[in-house]
Amino acid sequence: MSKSYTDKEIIESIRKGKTERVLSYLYDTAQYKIRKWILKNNGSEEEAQDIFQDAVLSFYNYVLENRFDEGKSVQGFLFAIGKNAWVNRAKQKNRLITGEKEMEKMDSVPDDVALISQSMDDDNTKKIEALLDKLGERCKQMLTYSIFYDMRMDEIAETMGFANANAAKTKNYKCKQRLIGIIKENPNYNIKAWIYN
Amino acid sequence: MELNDHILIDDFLNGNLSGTPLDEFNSRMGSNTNFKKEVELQELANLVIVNNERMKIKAQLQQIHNERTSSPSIGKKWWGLGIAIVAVGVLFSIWFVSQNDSNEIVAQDQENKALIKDIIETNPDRNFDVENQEIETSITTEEDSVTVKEAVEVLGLTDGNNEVTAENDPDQTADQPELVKKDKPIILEEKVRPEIIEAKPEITPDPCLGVNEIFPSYQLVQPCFGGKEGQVIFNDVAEKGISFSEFSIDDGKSYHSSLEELIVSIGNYKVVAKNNLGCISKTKSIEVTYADCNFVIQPNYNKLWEIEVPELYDEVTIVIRNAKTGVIVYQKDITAYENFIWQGYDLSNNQLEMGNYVYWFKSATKGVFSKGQITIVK
Repeated sequence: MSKSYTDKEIIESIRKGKTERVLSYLYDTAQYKIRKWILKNNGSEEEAQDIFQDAVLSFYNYVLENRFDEGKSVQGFLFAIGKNAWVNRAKQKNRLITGEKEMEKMDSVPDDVALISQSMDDDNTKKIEALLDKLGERCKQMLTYSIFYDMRMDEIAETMGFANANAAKTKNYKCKQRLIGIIKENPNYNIKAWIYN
Repeated sequence: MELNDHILIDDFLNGNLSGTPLDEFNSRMGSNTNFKKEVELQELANLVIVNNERMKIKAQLQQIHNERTSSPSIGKKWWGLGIAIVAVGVLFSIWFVSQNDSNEIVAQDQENKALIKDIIETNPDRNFDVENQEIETSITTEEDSVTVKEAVEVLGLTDGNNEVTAENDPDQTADQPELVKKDKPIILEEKVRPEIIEAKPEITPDPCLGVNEIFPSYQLVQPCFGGKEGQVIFNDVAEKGISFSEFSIDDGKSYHSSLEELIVSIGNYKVVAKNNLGCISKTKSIEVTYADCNFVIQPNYNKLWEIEVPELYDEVTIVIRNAKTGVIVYQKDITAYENFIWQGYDLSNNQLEMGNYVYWFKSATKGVFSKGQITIVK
């Protein structure tokens, strides 16, 4: 069993981009319930994992956009997202869900929470990774903090050991320009197609 | 591109522009194709980073899933085999060293006896007491111990060639060998002795003595059906002042610090603890059942009673009665994972009066397994 976290600690860790242990904890505390419900409702093991992973991404997105109601239970929120996602997918695939009421979306998830259905085949994932490898590890980390985790420059400066927020801002700008340069240098890269394949 | 434009585009992509700045931005994109291209590139760069991190998170979750669901890996098996080989090797080394030590002791003992025998035989004119047990056994007390070298010296012999030297030595008197023979028994070299003493088993107190008679100290917070989770909270110090540092609720399969929140659902748990030396406490079985939980609802303020049926129960029935009259005011069958919300309505969907009501949950297999009181207030 992984280390225990309170809901507040989970949210703080995500906002700081320190999520490796949190992922283990979320898996240990929330995956089983979603998986069991999906399997009970004619889903496969693979579909259950996929839905759970996408539910976690949606939760991350919601937290990082400061839209998560901290009064809600994280596990309950994840289950609700996963359950709704499976109801939608089952409808599309004409699969049977136990009980008519189960077809209704749960009230505990706001309407504007959309499941992030993230998928990329292995080839395209490797292409993206190779492109980012040209950027260097530190620049990649910097841009991940600033773009994905939306961290403030003073937070990035502290995490990555820059003298101050201005130094981090300058580095972030240079890293971004370098990434744009890599994209420009390779006009044959069809990045959008890789991502939205 | 300039830093200012970079920041401006970032603000636009993050949705932080509004009003006049946004209008100006859109106008510039419409009139300046290079600027528009920069915006598109920056958006693409963001897309790359976001998608890469999302795939990384998914990969991490998949890896966690694989680790949790797979049987012990080949790597773990090799680890186990490696540990077993090392353990056998260590045991063999201990046996081999002890054998060597014994052999060395025996060899040294024989060598010394031969030397003593040689001394006696090459000095037929001297009256040695060959019956002396200490010569034979080579075991004596610390005070009496002298080395063979010292004995040879006292006997008046030179090292190595057993040549009689007493006559040549002005310090030796004719009586001395006889004195040595009787009062100073010849013994083995002192270096042999400590090894013999070390061979005696050492009796050290068992550091775990008494620990396995002590139960770990803990508090149990019982769960509420469909609501508050149960928790086991450990105390570092148990009976008789014995401290524990790690605690388990699964009979020692996994341990946790007392700072960790150990969430428990209903069921049986085997609680055990260990101290800093790894000494294990007595095991205690605990049964976690649902507490009689009481709730207060305020329908006028939308403060309702909300529960979610745990997965253990396929179907349960909730029955709510008026606490004074015992009349059933509400009843419903609910299924696993279902969210049940009670707003204080009766079976005809009328708002019930303020006051106390009792509830219980029952299932076909478990009968009544949870009960408590609900109070409706203004």
